Amino acid sequence: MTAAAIELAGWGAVSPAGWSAAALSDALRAETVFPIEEERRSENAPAARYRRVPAWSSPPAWLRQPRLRRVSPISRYAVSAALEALQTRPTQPSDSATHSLGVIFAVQNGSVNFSRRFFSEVLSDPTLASPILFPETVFNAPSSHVSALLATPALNYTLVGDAGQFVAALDLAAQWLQDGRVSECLVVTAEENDWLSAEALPLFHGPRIASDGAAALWLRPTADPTPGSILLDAVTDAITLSAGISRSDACAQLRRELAPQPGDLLLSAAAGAPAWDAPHQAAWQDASVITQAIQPTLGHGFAVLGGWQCVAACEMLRTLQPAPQRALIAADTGASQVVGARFIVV
Amino acid sequence: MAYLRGTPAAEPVRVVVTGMGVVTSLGRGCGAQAGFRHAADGLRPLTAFDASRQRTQLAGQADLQPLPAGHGLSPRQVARLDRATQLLLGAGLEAYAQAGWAASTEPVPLCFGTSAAAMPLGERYYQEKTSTPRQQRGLAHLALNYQPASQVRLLADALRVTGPMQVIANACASGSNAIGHAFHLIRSGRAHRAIAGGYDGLSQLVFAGFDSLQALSTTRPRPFAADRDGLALGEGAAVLLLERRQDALARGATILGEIAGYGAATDLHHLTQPHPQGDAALCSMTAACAEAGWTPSQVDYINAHGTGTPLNDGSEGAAICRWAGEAVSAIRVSSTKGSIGHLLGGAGAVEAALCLLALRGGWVPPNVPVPNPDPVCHFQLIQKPLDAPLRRVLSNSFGFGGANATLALQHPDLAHS
Repeated sequence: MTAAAIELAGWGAVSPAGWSAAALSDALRAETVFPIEEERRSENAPAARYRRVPAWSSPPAWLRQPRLRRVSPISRYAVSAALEALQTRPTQPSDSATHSLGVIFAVQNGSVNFSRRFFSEVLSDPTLASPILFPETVFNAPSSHVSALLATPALNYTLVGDAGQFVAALDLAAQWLQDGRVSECLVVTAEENDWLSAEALPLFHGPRIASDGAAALWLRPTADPTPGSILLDAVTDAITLSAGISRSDACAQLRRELAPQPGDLLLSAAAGAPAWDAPHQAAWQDASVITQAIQPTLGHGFAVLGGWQCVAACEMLRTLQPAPQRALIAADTGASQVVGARFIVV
Repeated sequence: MAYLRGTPAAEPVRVVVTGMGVVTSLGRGCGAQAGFRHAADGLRPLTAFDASRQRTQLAGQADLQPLPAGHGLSPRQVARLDRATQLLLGAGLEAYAQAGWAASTEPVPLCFGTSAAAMPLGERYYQEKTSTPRQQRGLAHLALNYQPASQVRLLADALRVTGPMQVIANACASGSNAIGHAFHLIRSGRAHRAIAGGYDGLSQLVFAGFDSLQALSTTRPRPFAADRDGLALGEGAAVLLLERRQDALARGATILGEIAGYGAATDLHHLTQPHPQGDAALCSMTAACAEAGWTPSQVDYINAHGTGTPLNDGSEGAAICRWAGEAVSAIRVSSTKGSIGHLLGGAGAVEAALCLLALRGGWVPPNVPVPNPDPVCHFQLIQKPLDAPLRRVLSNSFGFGGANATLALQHPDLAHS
């Protein structure tokens, strides 16, 4: 095992704000109000509300890759965020013979577009159900495409969880790096809008806005971090919400573990729904931190929410004036776990 | 704190299995798996859903039985369980009872693999949404409990344990990845104990999916046969309770086997087709043996992924030959999927459990007989019941997306040395 520090060396995002991390950060700081599309899939169906990723001005070159010819948006978003995160990575690592890039993909809903379409075809006539759709419905299809495009045969895990899964995945990335299982690691998350998942949101969270996109962080060990670089300082224990552990207790424990200091930047997963946010608000009400919420601007991106929090933290640690030295990620409004992380500037 | 910068290094810790539970179409409980000694037939026409319009109806469907007494779930929770969760809980409760862990409030990591989770609940959600769009009642239960985290949380509640959950969805390698991940948590000193395994239940969407790919056998699955024509799907679960060897020895626990190594790699060849020469499979077997400190000549048996599809078995066979080199002719290999089908996210965990049973029992689970094996079989394809002392075995699991994983398991006697 190595005790070297872990640098957050690059990041990328796709969101209703656009196809870059900078667009996401700018939108949050400007509190931009993106249009909400309200749709009914049929006359009798409930209305679903969306914030959507804007269409790109021209298709990127990587879309010509054969592996991406038949994918749904989730894989396109994942690839875009991953490539943005790695854009400053040297194309040929110095010790390429032993070098390995691991990939961890965090997801909640997965490829729901194709899953819904495929199951509809199965119910209609299974003999005609499309073999093109089915492979893309598998949870790990997007991460497989990412590894294939990056030509990295190293470890690749897809972790299924909730809005906090991306943050929890940072702990796994840290494990792989500390144990020397990979030389560097890319943590990615992506989701895609669909009425099937969008109509489920109000069942739990009240009138919420579904959104989609992706986020990615590139992590690498560093023995001698350069001034201004951002380090992964800590990832908290992931607290599973269960019969014996309330969200209030979990939020309070998360705050204790993150140990806020005056002037810290807090990336919040609060939804703007008082009943749902109450445990988070109670835990953080007396903290002297600069709070930046994600959902009011971007909507609920399911597993991507935690990724957007992390990418926004990196962007803001670089660009906010006066510059905070630490960012706290509180992923405490998900369905199954409460988890957090702390980033610091060297 | 799970990760804290500057955490000191730890020496590798040896990891043993002290609890094990299994559910397959051969039955519930480790005892019911004795049928693997003679390649018992666990395939039958499935009744879990209407498959009459598919090209085949053959599957390894398990008999669902009431949960054993003493679990921590409410009657309401039990009444709402789907197939996959029932399988998972059946295996989990058996494993927990066997391990004899003392009650503790210390968090225990729960690491599980699945590919489809509680898919039938998702299917019902879709059908209710489309048939009665205004209907809201009952939908929250379906949407919530479809998610894999809910099944693992139900297991935690049933066992009355708490801890961080990790659900790995690496297709058909998921169960092996989950056990391997739990193994590494303990080996690296991050945890003293862990609960790990894999599960999947039969579902209409997945069954139709494999049929759409023409991956299902329309006759019978015949892994490693030259004329093989596909796989049969099955369902099941296995749960292993892992702990530090020193703790198991100190409390006088019965050690069921030791996990000595784990390797994983990603096949970049195609989303659903393995590299013809099994590059990633070679990597995962090599990595598992490197961690265990084994050479191919020390490995007594390989439980192959062996789905029975033309592409998998050829690729895996080539990888085994490349990995074993000159030792290949001495290595015993079989696939148990001809007996119970392919359990997808449950396959790696069930096959790891089966390897532990074989290690303790001194027998090799035979392949279904294949009179005309694939020419790639330069190894000993075991096709008849065979009693033989086993000391070191590998379990391979490969999946869509190029997920490849190998577990290295050894006899409990070696865990005492």
